[in-house]
Amino acid sequence: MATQIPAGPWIEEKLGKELYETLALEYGACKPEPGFRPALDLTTAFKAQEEAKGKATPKAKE
Amino acid sequence: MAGTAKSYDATKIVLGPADLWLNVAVPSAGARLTVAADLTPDASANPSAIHLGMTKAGCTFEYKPEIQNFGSDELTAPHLSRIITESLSIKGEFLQVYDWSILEKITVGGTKTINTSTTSGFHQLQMGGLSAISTYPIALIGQDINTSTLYWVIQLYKTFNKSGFTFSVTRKDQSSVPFEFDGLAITTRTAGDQVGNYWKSLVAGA
Repeated sequence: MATQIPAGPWIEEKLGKELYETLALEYGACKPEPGFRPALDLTTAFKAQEEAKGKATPKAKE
Repeated sequence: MAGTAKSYDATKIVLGPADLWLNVAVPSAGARLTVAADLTPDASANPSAIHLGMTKAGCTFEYKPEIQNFGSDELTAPHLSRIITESLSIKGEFLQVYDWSILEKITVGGTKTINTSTTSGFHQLQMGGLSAISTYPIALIGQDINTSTLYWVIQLYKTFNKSGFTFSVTRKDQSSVPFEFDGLAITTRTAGDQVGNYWKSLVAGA
């Protein structure tokens, strides 16, 4: 299951080291290194995730 | 027999100025830098972006492949060509030599200190003794010549300034610092999209 993307900004200080590195790798942006820890622009992926949530079929009432 | 249409299209030229931004975000796979309606990096998606400010004569972007031709004893012309190396860079000369955030980024071994004390405040850049290089993405953003709400972007995903920090001080001219950002590959990205992207928007604010 894909890791849930929180709202931006997607910086390490906000996400925490573990989630930052997971999101960077999972969404294909990059593998952060000690001298390369840029912010991630996950706008497109975040929008897609939110749209998918909105389109999820509600459970039928019994 | 029919002729072929010529393509003299004045809407497809690039005419500056453009703005260079350091420390923008890396877009996710298949995506592009998020740009706000005022043609600057979107603040939410690029919270750490630094504007390089004024340059002496704009910026030069270069993509330079090194091609190797392979031949044979039997043929007079090469029968195969391959890209051996590629180099991408953005270079120019910037003018705001008092901007400590820029200086820290362009001097690979520099560290800024900003002391805002009202009695002993100062800004400084200390240099020397570090060996690790910090890299970051950069983006050059310019306005489309045909539509003011559209734009083009040249982004390098992982760069550092290989020119260091050199400037002369003279009474006759303003000081300027040459810079040259070299693009490095992010090996985890898809081949073909590992170093940078030059693209143009077709929709405003997208």
